[in-house]
Amino acid sequence: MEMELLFKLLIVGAILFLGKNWFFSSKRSLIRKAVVIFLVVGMIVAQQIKDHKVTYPLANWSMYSPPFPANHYKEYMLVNSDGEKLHYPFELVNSVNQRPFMRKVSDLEDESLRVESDVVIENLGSTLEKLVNIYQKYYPNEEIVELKINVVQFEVYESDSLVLNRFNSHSHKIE
Amino acid sequence: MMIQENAGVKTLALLRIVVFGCWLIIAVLFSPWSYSMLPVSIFESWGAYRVINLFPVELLEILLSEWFLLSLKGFLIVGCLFCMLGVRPFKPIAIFTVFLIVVYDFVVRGFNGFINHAQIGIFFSAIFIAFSPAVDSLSIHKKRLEKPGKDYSFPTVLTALTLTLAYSFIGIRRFMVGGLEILTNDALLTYLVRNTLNYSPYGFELSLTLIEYGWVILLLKVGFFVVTIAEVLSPFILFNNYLRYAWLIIMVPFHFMTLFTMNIFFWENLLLISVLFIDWENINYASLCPIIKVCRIK
Repeated sequence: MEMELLFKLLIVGAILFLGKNWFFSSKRSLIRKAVVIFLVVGMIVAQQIKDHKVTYPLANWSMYSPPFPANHYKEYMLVNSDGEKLHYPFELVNSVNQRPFMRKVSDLEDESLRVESDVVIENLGSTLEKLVNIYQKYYPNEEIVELKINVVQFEVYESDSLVLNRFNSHSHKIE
Repeated sequence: MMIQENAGVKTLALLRIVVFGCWLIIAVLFSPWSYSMLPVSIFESWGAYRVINLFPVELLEILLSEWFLLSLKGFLIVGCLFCMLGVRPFKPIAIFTVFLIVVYDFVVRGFNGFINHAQIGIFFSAIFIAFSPAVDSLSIHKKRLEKPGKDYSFPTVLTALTLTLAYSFIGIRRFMVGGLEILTNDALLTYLVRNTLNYSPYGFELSLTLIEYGWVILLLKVGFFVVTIAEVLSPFILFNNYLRYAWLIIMVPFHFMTLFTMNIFFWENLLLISVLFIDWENINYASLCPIIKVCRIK
């Protein structure tokens, strides 16, 4: 942690030193200098706090850092009246980037398994219900009977093959 | 001396068009119907947006109602169009549009489980641009208002600084948390496979083919290491042209690689990179394109 902060301070210090004539030019107003300082300090602090939910819109940047990432993910499957399964098209909710919302649904499910609270279970149930409603708004002729959440575990064997294991973690039946 | 110091009126105007162009695309793709259908009970305001908790809960219900989100989409599209075209008076229009962007961000973020890092650069850039003379060039008004000595570089440098510091922080975190292990063990393989198998409308499955070849995996790991080094050094491209060219050669293909191998596409960052790190002020367009030359001679 301290090393990481030290590296960041080194980089930021070097940048501010190299660009001192521009950043802190005597022609530049005090407000603009303050904006530069706020931005740089804010970015460092947000990175140290590591919780977007506290620091947003200043973000924590840590993509693809853990050396032992989880080898599982969740899939959200709609089941229609013919028994056919299809991936829930999350672009119906967010066309630009679906995964942050997928994480929200995943978090709701995790919370419902962890905390035995009616409110939490109700939140998951109503969200899945609404997701089906959204789907049926776009595809009114398709009758959906279930929305399943599966956990998919995978094993990758280098230069060989991929083994997938699916198990159902939650099923939401549509009345 | 910083490279972007020379960024003048044209670069700033181009940045204005690109940034508000990105938000225009996002606004057009925004689905107010879907968001208004989601249960309010799962909404969670983030960071500075928690200020909403000071207001009665009815305000949140209004903000998440269908008619409000529909109006938001409409006004946001018009605002972004006006900003792209450089309609005057620019500052009031741009500040109002940025306010709408913040409201949009508040709504979408509240229903998300993590943040969309791809939108952070254009989010801050829109704020910087709104308070700048970004409309002095490339606008629908014929009269150019470029004034010598006016500071056109400030929003451009701030955007470049935000973007490059973010890249640098990612690289530093990866080395500090993952160490060399992340570059030598099968972590990259797991990331590639997980993101390929996980649902995405892009639907690329290149990784599943690539992992069948041992030498490709080795190449990907070497590439991951090189990209992480480039990320750490990102802010220094503001000061050195050679480093900037090398960085572009590494990072632009990297962003396309993440699309084909992980279904992750930071198109907003690619557009920002194309404006910020190419010297648009001094390009001799005629020499680049023989067709233009021929046309001019005729």
